[in-house]
Amino acid sequence: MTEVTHVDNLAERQLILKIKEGDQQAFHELILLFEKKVFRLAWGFFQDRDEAMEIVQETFLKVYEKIDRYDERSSFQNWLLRISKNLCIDAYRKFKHRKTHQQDVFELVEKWGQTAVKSEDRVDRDSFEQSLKEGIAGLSNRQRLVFVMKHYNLLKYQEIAQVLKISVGTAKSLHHRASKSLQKKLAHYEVSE
Amino acid sequence: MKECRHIQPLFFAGQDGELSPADKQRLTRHLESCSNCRAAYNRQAQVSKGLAGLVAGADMVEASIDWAEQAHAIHRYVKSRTMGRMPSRALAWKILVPMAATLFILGIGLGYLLFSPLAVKGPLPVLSSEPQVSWSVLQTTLGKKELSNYLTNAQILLTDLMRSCDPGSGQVDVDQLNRNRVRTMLQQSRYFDDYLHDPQLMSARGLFKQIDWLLYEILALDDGASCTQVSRLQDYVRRERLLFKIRLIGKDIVYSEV
Repeated sequence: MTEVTHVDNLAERQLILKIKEGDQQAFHELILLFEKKVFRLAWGFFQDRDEAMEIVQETFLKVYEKIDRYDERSSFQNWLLRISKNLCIDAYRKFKHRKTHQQDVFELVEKWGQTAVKSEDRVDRDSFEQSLKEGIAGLSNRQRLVFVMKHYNLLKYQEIAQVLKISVGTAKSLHHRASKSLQKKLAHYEVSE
Repeated sequence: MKECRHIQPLFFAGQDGELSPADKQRLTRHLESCSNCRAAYNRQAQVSKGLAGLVAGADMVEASIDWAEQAHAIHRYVKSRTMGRMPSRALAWKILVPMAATLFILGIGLGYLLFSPLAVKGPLPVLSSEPQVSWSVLQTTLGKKELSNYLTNAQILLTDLMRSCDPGSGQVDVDQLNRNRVRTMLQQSRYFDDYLHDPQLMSARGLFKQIDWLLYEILALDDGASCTQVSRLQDYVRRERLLFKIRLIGKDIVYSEV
């Protein structure tokens, strides 16, 4: 598996060179360039704004601390997303535990409080999306990462493979298994032929 | 069934319009003939639709964030966590490399002092009332060349005296020629000694006093000086001479006790 070289992205490389020399302005520009991409990955992974924002912050902290280890011959975006996905995986266990606890609290509130009146169609859609979210959350870390990178970050299989350091075939296979798993999870929703 | 396994991975790509014309035709033909895959394809379409909703939700959240302000916040956070220090490579180049270079140069200097041919090997000889000598003071007062000549002559003289050491009696036989050389040496020591009356240089006087005293003893003894005494003086002068040479390459050494 060979990494795609980005020799043409001169501005990006110059920016990174400046950061390596300690240029704070260049680092600020780098944050502006890539913060949304990191956010999308983290959002897709957690479906939670606060958690995603925390991942964005930690990612850039790691980037700043480890920028000298970045090899300019490889894609910076892939390196950045690799850092993010590692942070996502590390944070996910704690997040899941917290979420389960929150869920219990919400269920109690919903049980005793009044729920807003919604149209049947809206309830169905919300319920379907909720099931889909739960389905994504139930995927394995690798499947979820591939799925999120494919649909939230709109990366190609080759790019996903580079970020996760797996083969393109494995990336495709993980995506296919994730899809099958989601179909299974949502099978009780009626499908019209 | 085998065909189904090959077709199903194409579902997502088919729904996103990313299939090649050949694969698209293959997928269409298979779906027309396989009801199982048709149902799976529809379920997949539903997932895609739901996913589009989720992605649209992500777009909305993303649009609601002030990213310029967010970038400032992230930058502030990174600065606070790194205490304003530079990235590691910049840190290495601006601080660690010069520090390592300085340590390296100091290491070479120290290594030269310890292991060069000029370095003093083994334990230094101990004399009674060991003088405290600062060569930088001495060479400024007496002159570098004069001091160097004095020490060289002293060493040669003492080496010659040791050659006449009789192991049986343990005495050095000082003949007339060597007696004259010792006298000249004594005169020079006293000459230097006269220059060192300044109280600040009193400690340096010890060196010449020591040489002076031993040489005088050699002269005073009719039956010759003891080999041990001459040998000790020889070691002492050799050491002072080496230290003086080290001083010549820019190192000043002050020692009080051995």
